Parts: sequence; C-alpha cells; structure tokens
Amino acid sequence: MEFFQTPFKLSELTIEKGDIELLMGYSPGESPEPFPEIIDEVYRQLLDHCSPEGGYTILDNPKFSLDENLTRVGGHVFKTDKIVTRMLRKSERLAIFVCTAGEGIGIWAKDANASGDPVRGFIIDTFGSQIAEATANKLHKIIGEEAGKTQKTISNRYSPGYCGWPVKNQQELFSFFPEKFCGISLSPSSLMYPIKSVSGFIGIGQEVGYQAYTCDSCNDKHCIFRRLRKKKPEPV
Amino acid sequence: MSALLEQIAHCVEFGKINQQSPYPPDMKGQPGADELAKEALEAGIRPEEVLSGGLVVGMQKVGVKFRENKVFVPQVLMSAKSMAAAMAHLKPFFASGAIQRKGTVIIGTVAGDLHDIGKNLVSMMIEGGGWEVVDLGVDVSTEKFIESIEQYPGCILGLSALLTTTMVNMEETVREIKAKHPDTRVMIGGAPLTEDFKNSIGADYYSPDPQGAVEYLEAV
Ligand code: B12
Repeated sequence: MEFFQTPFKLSELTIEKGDIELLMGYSPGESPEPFPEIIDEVYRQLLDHCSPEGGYTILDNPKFSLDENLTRVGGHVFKTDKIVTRMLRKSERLAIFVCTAGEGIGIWAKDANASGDPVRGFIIDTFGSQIAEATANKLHKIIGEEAGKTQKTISNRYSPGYCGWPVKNQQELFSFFPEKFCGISLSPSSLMYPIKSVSGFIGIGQEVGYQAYTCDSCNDKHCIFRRLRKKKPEPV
Repeated sequence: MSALLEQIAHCVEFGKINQQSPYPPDMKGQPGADELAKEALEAGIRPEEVLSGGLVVGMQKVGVKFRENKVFVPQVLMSAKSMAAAMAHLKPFFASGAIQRKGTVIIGTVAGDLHDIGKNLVSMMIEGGGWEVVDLGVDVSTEKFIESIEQYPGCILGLSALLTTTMVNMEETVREIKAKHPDTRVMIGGAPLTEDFKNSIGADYYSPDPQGAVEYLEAV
C-alpha cells in the first residue's frame, strides 16, 4: 500500500481570524473586546506551537450498498449510513485521510488554562480546531489536484461521527495506516491523539461531484456547522 | 448595601474582574468584582450574602444568556474569572465554616474521553451557583467516580462525554454507580447526548447546557 504523508507550513493553510470568531460563536469581525486582541496575539505565536501534518492512502474498488447504507473497501465494512453512502456511491477509488494540528497546540492551551487564563486557553484551543480543519482542507485540495491529473474529480470529505456514520469505524479506518501515521494514534474508545485531528474519506472518480451545501441533506438540527453557515456571509 | 451586591452581580454578569481589567470596554477604570467583594465584606455585608446576592445572581444571569445564545463561551469564561476573583475573598469564610456551600458536586469526563471545555464550563457555572465542585478531570474511570462518592457522602455527580463511543463508557459508569449507590443522583451532558439516552441508561438528569445543571441542583 502506498502512503502520501507530509508536514504543512502554517502559511500553506488558510487560517482566518474571522473563522476563529465564528467557531467561538460570533460573526466575523464582531467578537467583543478584548477577544480580537487575544486572537491577534495567539495568531502571532501560532508558528511556535503547531506542527500540522496530514496523509492519505488510496484504495481501489470500493463497493457501495444503498440498501444497507454501507461502504466496503480494503476488506472492511464501513457503516457510512444514508447520506455519506449516497454522496460517495459513484467513487471509483477512495482516499482515506488523517491529519492533525499537532500535539503542541493542545499543550499550549492547557498551559494557558493552568496559568489562570481560560479565555486565552479557549482561544488557543479554537485555533487548534481550526488548524485541524484547515489541514484537512489542504489535504482535500492536494487529493483533488492529484485526481485532476487523471481527469477525475473528487467528493467532499466525510468523517466518521458525522451524518450518522459511527465514530467506532475509526478502528477500521486506522487499520489502513501504519502505527502513529502522521503522529496520530487511536485509542480503544476511538479518540484520536493529538486531540486536534480529523479523519475521513474522499471519493474519487469520473462522476463524483462536490456538493456546496451538504447541510441541506443532513437532518442534524443541533450541528454547529448549520449554525455557523447561518452566520457566515455568503461569498459575493 | 444591596446596591453593592447588585454591582457585584453586574460585574460577574459582564465579566468585570478588577479595576485594571480592560473588559468589558464600557466599564474601563471602574472597580470590578474583586474590589467590590472586598468592599462589601469590609462594609459588614455577610459573606453568604456576597455569595448568594452577588456572585450567584451574576452567574445565573450569564448562564441564562449563554443558553439563549446571547453570549458565548469566552464571555462566560470572563464571568467565571470575575466570580473567582470575588470568591477568593470568601475563601477564609468557607474554610472557617462561616458560610456553607449548598452541597458537593463531583464532575468528570468519562473513561476514554479527553474533552474538557464543556465540562469545565459546567463546573464553573455550578461553582457560581454556590456549590462545592470536585473536578476529577478527564478520562475518569468508574472506580474513581465511586471512590469519590464514598469520600463525599450525599454528593451529586455530573458526567460529560463528547463522542458516541465514550457514551458507552458513560452507560457503564452510571450502571455501576447506581448498583452501588442507588440514591446518588447523576446528571449527564455533552454534545451527542439526548434525553432519550439519559432515560435509557438510568441517569437522573440531562441538560444540553450548564444552566440546566444549576437549575436541576436547585430543584433537588
Ligand atoms: C471543535 C470540534 C472538533 C475539533 C476539536 C475537538 C476538540 N475536542 O478539541 C476537531 C476539528 C479537531 C474535531 C475532530 C473530531 N470531531 Co469534533 N467537534 C467539534 C465541535 C464542532 C465543537 C466541540 C466543542 O469544543 N464544543 C464547545 C463546548 C463548550 O461544548 P461541549 O463540550 O459540547 O459542552 C457543552 C454541552 O455539551 C454541555 N455539557 C458538556 N458536558 C456536560 C456535562 C454535564 C453534566 C452537563 C449538564 C452539561 C454538559 O455544556 C457545555 C457548555 O454548553 C463539536 C460539535 C458541537 N456542536 O459540539 C464536534 C463533535 C464533538 N465532533 C465530533 C466528531 C465525530 C469528531 C471526529 C471523530 C471527526 C473525525 N472523524 O475526524 C474528530 C475526533 C477528534 C479526536 N481527537 O478523536 C462529533 C462527536 C459526536 C459523535 N458522533 O460521536 C461532534 C459532536 C460533531 C457532530 N457530529 O455533531 N472536532
């Protein structure tokens, strides 16, 4: 099995302060004082505290069952449920990815909390989440560019734990990778360490499409992304 | 006298820690919960009134606003910080027994789970409600929870889980607690939890937000 694995420079990732504010609950540019200053201050020091890294492997011949809402690939069965199975069903290959913001940012957040500054700790933690997401986005882009070389397109990225796909399948997902791939390990309770990590599938094929608004096909009323989408201005 | 308590409650609600603190911008230069609590005690206001008429009132207001999405996590953290600044002046009175807390709440994130932001928020709000909080941290085993129940008789438990996979561990923990200590009340919370799940595992209370936990504690 072939693996692609690479560290990323922070400058290669799209980290916007407005996205941090969104994750904190505010509309971009509208978090009250003193949060914008703390966001700026944390942003300036990010380089010293995170080590984004990501990687993937590509598996051929995935089989999708729309009756059972399952994906079979690489000798494993994934309970991808209705939405993800439907979105991936035309994939000829699947990219299985994991990525992380690194361990440092979590430690930095903990230190800030321990020194009696939970607000700063929370903002650092939020950056950690955003960096993990941005790393996944970067990996998504790389996989898309690779697929483009053979005139294939890619799907959105889908993660165990979203859209009815059980987190437990993380065990099967991680079984495709060597131990500590990208420095990430998986606990028996399917928690990734470092915490600020993301995993998932991306479909590749001639007829695979990218869906701009996946929220419309999901029925999780409490999902944070639905709320964020409402607050984020539509691109003009 | 009550004006001072109202001011303390206001500082806690809006996260005004002390005079130097620049937050919130419209209270720059004014005294914060820190100075006002000291002033209240020096003026002869009883410490339990500072707690119940100042800190608890302020934390309750911010808890309700958080539930209604009028303020967000960072603002709640500022409130908690200002509460802690005032609480520092009350510490000697807790130690001497001059003021009593409403009871003890043991809180922790269940085995296999390392998420703590939600749990920490809940624990700050509960402390702000006038309770003693014993925070066992993250990845807390059933044995550790049970040990603590034995150490703090009459306590109430708060369990947190953020992943569906660790909800399974929560179920086991609740089952064992209820088997050994059937009278111990257990409340649960965390993003993927629901009222149905609470019923299915035999926990006593579920709340999607910290204020619900405070209200439940008031009611029992
Ligand atoms: C930010 C985030 C991330 C970040 C960082 C996560 C982290 N732990 O730091 C990143 C991007 C890295 C991430 C990754 C993943 N995530 Co995530 N993530 C979130 C998100 C959007 C916010 C979490 C958060 O910080 N919330 C803020 C705090 C304050 O909220 P809270 O902890 O829920 O606590 C509140 C309440 O729940 C309640 N509460 C909490 N405990 C208690 C206890 C008591 C007693 C009471 C009364 C109340 C209470 O009060 C708190 C304050 O209101 C949630 C969605 C959401 N809406 O919460 C998903 C969520 C937690 N993630 C989820 C998943 C699936 C994942 C991944 C497995 C996805 C993947 N395959 O890559 C990974 C796992 C990472 C790992 N280490 O294993 C799921 C988990 C549910 C499930 N299906 O199991 C969620 C719920 C999203 C969803 N599907 O709806 N995630």
